[in-house]
Amino acid sequence: MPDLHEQQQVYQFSNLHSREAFDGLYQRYIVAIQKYVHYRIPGSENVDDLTAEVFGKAWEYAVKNPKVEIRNFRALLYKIARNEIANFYQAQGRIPMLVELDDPEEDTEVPDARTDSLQKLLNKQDQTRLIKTVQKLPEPYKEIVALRFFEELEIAEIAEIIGKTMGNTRVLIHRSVKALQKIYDREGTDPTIEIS
Amino acid sequence: MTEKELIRQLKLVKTAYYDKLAPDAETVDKIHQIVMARVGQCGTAPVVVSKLSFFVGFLRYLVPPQLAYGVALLALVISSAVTATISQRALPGDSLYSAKLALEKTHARFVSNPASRAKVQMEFAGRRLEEAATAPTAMGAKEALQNFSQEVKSAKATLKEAADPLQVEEATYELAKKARQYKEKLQETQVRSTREVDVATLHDAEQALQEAQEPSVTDGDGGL
Repeated sequence: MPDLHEQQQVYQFSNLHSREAFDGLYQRYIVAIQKYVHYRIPGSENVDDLTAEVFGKAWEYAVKNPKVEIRNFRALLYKIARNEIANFYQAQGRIPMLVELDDPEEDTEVPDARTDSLQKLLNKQDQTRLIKTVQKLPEPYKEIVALRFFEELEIAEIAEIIGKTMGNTRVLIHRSVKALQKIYDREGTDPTIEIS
Repeated sequence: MTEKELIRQLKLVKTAYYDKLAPDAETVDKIHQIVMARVGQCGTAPVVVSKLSFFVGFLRYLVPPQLAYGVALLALVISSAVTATISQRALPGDSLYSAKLALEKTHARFVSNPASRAKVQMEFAGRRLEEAATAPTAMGAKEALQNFSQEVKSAKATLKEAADPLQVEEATYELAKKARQYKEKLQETQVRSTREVDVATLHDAEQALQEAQEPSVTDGDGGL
């Protein structure tokens, strides 16, 4: 939930087109958005330009839609970022993986990781292996891992960002973890996989 | 590795990997310049409003419409309850006196059983008599007495709508008992009072009380 100061900034930006307020919001979210974009398109030279595009489009969205009241600026930024990344992949000829959510065999119980306290520390090798595994995840799951476990967003906000119901979002989170687990365990048994 | 363990370990990956993707200060500035240049190109001037307009607008923005309606409804309920409480003490001539009478009428309407409603109306008649005794002006006392007569007659008329003979019998007894009490009180009030209340009003009140002591003839068939 944004604090009162942020709500004031969002109101001033979206309703009064205040550049000062927009600047404040930029400073608040530039690191998070740039990290997210960098994570989604690693090694690309377009990360900075794409990040600038996200904020530029956020401004234009407010200006061109004066009757739309923006309540969650962070969610708006992530939505725009997702669209820009999807356009980037399309331009590169990469077809995104479709995720079906109607599989009844899936166990939809999702443990809330952030309420668990850390009991064990990984050694460095395991950590590196897990980073590699995360990088190998298919795009929809890679995105979910970033939003849920790295950006630590609430499920409701993630649902708003990705345009799905809370139930579907929970299923996606669960499947992301399952996919991660599968790849992680598979990589552990394959001696030919290089860990960078 | 179990699923739970995997999720826990992702927290370490966040620190070891994800957080390290953060831009440096130079990159933040560079992107800032690109963004603000684009904002400038849009050519949109900021909207200038007064402090009051800003305050009202921001308040409306903070409070979603559904919450605003809920708060307004709650305020209405609370103010109604406060008005009802204050009006209880209102006397003829006070600004809230008519509100008091209206509330009592509404109360009576919610009593569906005619026999019970008649008893309620007789109770309200008693209040009118109290008001007549304590009203600050002769006009107020007269108004209260007129209302008293009206309430007594209404109680009698309501009782005629009752169908259950047992309920009618019981209510008739209650009304007659109250009527006797009120008659005594009316006489006491006349003796004590130094204000003049016109004879017609007094006669009307006494007449109403006399009729209230008579047995009731119902409109209903009494279940026969």
